[in-house]
Amino acid sequence: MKKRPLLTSLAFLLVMYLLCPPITWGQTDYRFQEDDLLKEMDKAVEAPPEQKGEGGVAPVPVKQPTVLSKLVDDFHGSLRLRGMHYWQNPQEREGADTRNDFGSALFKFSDKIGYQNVALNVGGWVEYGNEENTYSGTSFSEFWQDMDRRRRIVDINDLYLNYSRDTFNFLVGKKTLTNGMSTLYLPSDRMRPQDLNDPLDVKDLNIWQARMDYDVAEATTLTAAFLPVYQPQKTPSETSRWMGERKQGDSMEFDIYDAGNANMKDDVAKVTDTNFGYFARFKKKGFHGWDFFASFYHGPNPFYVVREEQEQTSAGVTKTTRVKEVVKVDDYAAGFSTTYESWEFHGEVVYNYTYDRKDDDYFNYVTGFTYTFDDFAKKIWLEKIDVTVEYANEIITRFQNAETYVSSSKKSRLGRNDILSRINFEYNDKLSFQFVCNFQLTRGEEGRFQRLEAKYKLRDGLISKLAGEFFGGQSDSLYGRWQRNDRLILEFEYSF
Amino acid sequence: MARRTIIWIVGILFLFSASVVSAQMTGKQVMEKQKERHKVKTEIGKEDMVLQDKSGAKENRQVVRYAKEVGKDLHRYLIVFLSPGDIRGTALRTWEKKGGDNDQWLYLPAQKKEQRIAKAGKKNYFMGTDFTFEDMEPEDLNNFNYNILRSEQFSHEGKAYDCYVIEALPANDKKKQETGYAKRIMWIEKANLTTLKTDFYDKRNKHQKTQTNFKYVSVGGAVMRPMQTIMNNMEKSHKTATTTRSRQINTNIGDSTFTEQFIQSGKHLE
Repeated sequence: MKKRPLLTSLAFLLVMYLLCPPITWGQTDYRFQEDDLLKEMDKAVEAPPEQKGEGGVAPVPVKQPTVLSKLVDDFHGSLRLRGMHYWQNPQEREGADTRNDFGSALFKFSDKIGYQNVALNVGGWVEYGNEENTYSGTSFSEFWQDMDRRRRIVDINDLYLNYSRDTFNFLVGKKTLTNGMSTLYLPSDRMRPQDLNDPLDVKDLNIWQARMDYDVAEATTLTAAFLPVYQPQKTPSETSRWMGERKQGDSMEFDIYDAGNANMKDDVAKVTDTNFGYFARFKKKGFHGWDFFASFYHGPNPFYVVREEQEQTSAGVTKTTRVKEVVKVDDYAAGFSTTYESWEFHGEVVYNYTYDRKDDDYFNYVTGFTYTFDDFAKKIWLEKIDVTVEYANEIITRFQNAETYVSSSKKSRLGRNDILSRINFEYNDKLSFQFVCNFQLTRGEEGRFQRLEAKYKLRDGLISKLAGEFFGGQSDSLYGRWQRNDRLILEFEYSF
Repeated sequence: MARRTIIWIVGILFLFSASVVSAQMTGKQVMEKQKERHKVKTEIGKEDMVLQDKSGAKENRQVVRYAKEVGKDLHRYLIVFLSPGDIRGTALRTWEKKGGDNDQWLYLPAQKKEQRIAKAGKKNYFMGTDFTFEDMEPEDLNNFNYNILRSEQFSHEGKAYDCYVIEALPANDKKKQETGYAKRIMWIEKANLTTLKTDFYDKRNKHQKTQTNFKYVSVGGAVMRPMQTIMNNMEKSHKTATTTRSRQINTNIGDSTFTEQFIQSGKHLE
């Protein structure tokens, strides 16, 4: 049957719209006759408010918190229940998980304990679901460097000690390290390993770091970080439907989900002094209406390359083995964000230099804007519409050229002749719709991804989401391989 | 003798009328005096916020507001949501700028980064409240014309207050385009120069919403602040009420409080 993604999307949007809670479209002549809120507030202010400072009322004595009470007060988290239905069966292959319905429960938590300027922060998750070959292990195994492809059932991904003063912040431990000023695609955000078992529901794995952020002048921050452990991305299993459809002649080595090839070995950067990473950044915000950054990274690259090794078997036969290798690079990045009238413009570029020509050297850039419709949105009974559009591409300045290295990281790199877009339709604080798309335009690798989402806030802290995701494209493209993965997702998340 | 008496009477009447004229301030002068009287160097306020929709459903939030004057009539602001959980950590930073548009950044915890906000976005409601981004910015005295419409007794919290009724209109085409309002009408109490009520009119000159401030208290000398505020949005059939739970005036707040680094390091949630 011929697929019509646009029609499918529109039909899906209509269904979601009809499923949403009743909406009053007309204007109402609504007036509050009696402000019941005032009465409630009167009750709330029966206890005298605390006033401090010059001329204020003396502060009300407060019971000193204990360590336990602080831990309880600062304990926050969320519980997410997620169900998915795929409309098509995955491609048949040995051991493949051919079910179409999946569910998972995810409990995230965070806590901290502090004294004066020092705070110890902890955060993590407990998760389980019915996807095969996806969940295993806890943080206590492979504590420093998680080499397991599978998602940990129990994980501590935030564990850091923070020492902060007025002009600087020093951090030691495991935390996310973000970079970049773009909105949808951030080429310079490379120190951010993720769990890609579900490539569209990623989790930050975070990295070990010793980091100093120092305010050298007003809104001007210098960051220096030492990254001793390279954390590889996690990828779906060989039996997952995210392995996608493969036809004769399709490449097998370079997609983010590649794993399990019998003739393929991993050569991940182990924890040694030669694999340490170093990061430095200069960031200035609010300079005549502009924000800027420039950064430098030296260390292992998240995108691997492939080399071939010849091995002599006991029978005297030469066997060729392919090895996925994480190579060392220098990344130079810069970016900006500014606003003019109703527009926000942003852009960033990273230049990737690879040592010993084991990978390509290239520029990867993105530029885009966000435009906010408010007057027009109100005419169609919406609160606002935000449209973000970005274009990303890369320019290779020197191709891979090292002995025994047979393939560069090109196919696993994102942002190569891509258009990305996101449109938010906000009806009110409770109800909103979102459309996200990514079109890959490179000839022969054309692909498309579209996501439609309706989000409704059921009560304080409780959010429900209904989304549809649609994939298509050339058989050997990222999204083309997932064309059997069109799915419907229903989520409930309670945060406290 | 009679002639001299008339001259004296005319002279006295002239002086008296001149003093009356000098006592009649313009709308702008009232606004300037109000700003001057109630301004503080720094302010931290912790508020409980209740949002109520047409069906009566309520949503409770906790908010912390930081403000600091960093130069002559030049302020920085930070608003942080502490609860409920789905918006905990969301923060809005505003840097007031002279002769240009203010800088505003919104931090959303899920994205783990700040996003600069375009000016047009300032007409939009902030995080589902009935306050727009524009409402949370300081009064822009140079870009509005303030006309005293009348003086009247305004009944408020069981008392009658002698008030100026002042109309604020955008002063130039640029401001007309930027603002979400055709006009605002404010009831400003004469004795303490506190704003008791503000009516907001949308671009079609339709009464859109009303902000009422209650329970003014002295927070330091002549400086007064309301303990409670209600923004009643007739257009959306929605209202937002805030109650100040604690307030610190003129305490030492570092400039770093209004930086991205303050938020990224998690200090905004302490």
